[in-house]
Formats: sequence, C-alpha cells, structure tokens
Amino acid sequence: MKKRKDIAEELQQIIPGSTWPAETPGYGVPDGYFEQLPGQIMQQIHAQQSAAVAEELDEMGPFLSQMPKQHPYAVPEGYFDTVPGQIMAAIPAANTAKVIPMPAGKGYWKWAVAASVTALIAISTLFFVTSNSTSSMEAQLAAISDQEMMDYLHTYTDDSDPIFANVSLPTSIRQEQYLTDDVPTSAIEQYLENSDLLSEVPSNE
Amino acid sequence: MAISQDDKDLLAIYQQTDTRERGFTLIIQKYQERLYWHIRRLVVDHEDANDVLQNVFIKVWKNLQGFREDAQLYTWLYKIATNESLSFLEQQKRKQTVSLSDVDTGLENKLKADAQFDANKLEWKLQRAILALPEKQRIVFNLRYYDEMPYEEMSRVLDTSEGALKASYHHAVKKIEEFIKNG
Repeated sequence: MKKRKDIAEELQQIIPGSTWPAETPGYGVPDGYFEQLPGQIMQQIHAQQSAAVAEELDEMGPFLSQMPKQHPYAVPEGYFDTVPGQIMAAIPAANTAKVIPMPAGKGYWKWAVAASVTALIAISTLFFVTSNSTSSMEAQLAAISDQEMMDYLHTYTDDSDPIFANVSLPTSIRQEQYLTDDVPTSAIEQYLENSDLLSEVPSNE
Repeated sequence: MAISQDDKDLLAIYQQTDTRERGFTLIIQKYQERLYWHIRRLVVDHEDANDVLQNVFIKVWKNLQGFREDAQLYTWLYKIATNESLSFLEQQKRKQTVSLSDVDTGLENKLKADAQFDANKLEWKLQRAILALPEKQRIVFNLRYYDEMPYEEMSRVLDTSEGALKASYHHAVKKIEEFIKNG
C-alpha cells in the first residue's frame, strides 16, 4: 500500500494536480489463467524438446524418422492402478528383511574366543604327538645294537650310497671280503643251487 | 539441476511421518508409467518388467530419506531403474550361459512369444532391431527416441559424456535403419 502511495505522490510531483486511475480498466484474464500458465509453458518446453529430437532423427535416419513412433507392447488392463498397492504391500516385508548389523565388538569377541580355543587345542595336540613320537623313536633306536645297525646297512646299501660319503666302514664287513677272487666259481654256483636263487630267474627257453 | 517444485512438494509430504506412505504413493503414481516403459523396453516381458519396477520402488523407499534435493528426482529414479534392469538382464545372462544360450536371443524369443507379435509389422521389426543393438546403445536409443530425454539429463542418468551419448545414438539409428531395410 505504501508503495502505491509513494508512486501516486511521485506522479503528483511530476504533474501537479493530475489524477491517475488506481486500476487498469478493461483488462482482465480468463478464469484460472495463472493456474494453467505453468502447465502450458511446460507443454511448450516439451514440444520444443520433441521437435529437437525429431529434427535430429530426421538428419541421422530419415527412414526411421518417417516411421510412426509407437511400440507394440501391451499391458494388462488397469495394471497401473494396481502398481502402487502392490509396492506398498511389499514394503513391510522389505523392511523386515533388512539386515540388522550386530553390535560392534560383541561378535568379534565370540570369534576371538573360538579362534583362541581352537588354536590352543591344535598346538597342544601337535606338541603332544611330536614329543611322544620323538621319544618313542629315540627309545626304539637305543634298543638296537651297533652290530644290528651295521648288518642292516651292509644288507640294504652299497658303498656308492651317499649315506657313506663321510663314513668309513670296517673292512671286515665290506662286501669285497666275501666276493674276492679267493672264492672259487664252483663254490658260488654251489651256493646259488643250494639257495634256489637260480630258479627265480625267468627262463628264456 | 535442482529438484522441481512439484517433486519438492511430494517429498515434503513423504518427509512427514504421518503422511509418508501417501507421499510415496503419489511419487509412484507420478513416475510409474515412465519407469515401467523404460524397464519394459529393456526386459521385454511384462511380468519381468513388473518385478523390476517393484524392486525399483522398494529400493527408492529404502533410500529416499538420503536423497539430496540438489538433483532431479526423476533422473535419480531413471538411474535406479536402468541399473535394476541391467542387473536383471545380467542374472538372465548367467542363467542362460548354463544352457549355452544367449541373453539377446532370449529377449528376442520373449518378443516373439508376445501374443500380438507379427514379424511383418514395422513396429515389431523396429523392436527386433532395437534388441539387436549392444546394451548401452539400446538404452541410449530408448531414452532419446521414446522418452525424448535431453542429452544433458541422459548424461546424469548414465554417467556418460554428452558427446559419447550423441555418438552412441547416431550409431544406434544407423544400425536400426540398416536392420529394418535388410530385414
């Protein structure tokens, strides 16, 4: 109101004594004009966007631009009326299915205890088995005499075995002692016949 | 681009605890058709489109509280719908790899299984041509040709530069024309 009064005073200063009508006579707008205006402007904007798309398509693909822009898909009658209801019905289920994170620390504590107990059992078992088997092995080895060991090595190994690289066996037990030139061939043949070893050799007859 | 006043009003209704469901229902009613057709053109089958659409809105419900109003609501919705559709197609692809089939063949089979399908009609030929496009080109073509989406907005939906989108649309149009002329 003050603004209008200021303007009226300003006019009086410019042309003293003049009278100016307060309202513009004769001008009017259709009912609901201003309510409809935003929608009409948006329609024009969309029409301009459509025209731009059509123009672009006309340049890129003149054949395609002549085709009616419609797709042949159909939807069941009244489908869109049911969509909001379907979704709102599904939302409580979706909410209850939400994963609730465990309180920090509580879960880790349980896992830590479980891992510690498992590790303790595993280490104890391993220690028990290892120490038992070692002492058992040592006890068995102690019960074997040196002579028995020598005999075993004499029977199942030869001089080229790397195990003898740093070992000097007494000559008394070396194989050469038994297979020297002093042993006659007839004696060897006699031994083989008696021990039945020749029968083990496949015959080529 | 900031959110439109209309969407702001809908979100204001949604933000109130006592009118939250009504606000969300209004959002669904406003966007369901546009999103449905975007999804349907990608997954072809109505039942599949319905499943994806529901998943989209359930995701929106869960994340709408965190929606920043400096973006357009419908750009965000299109983004979710596109991602959900692609995830659905990826799942289909994995299933069909086991049976030594191909997902695009699967989509074409779904197209042919439509009760209204007529191979001689131009609109069905166009759909077959669109399905023959690579996935990204198919999305770009649909958004530009059917939804008449400006490249600027499409760029926000697909996180791709406007130049790349224009090139993609150009290639898609050429391929479709060739497909229809030769097919």
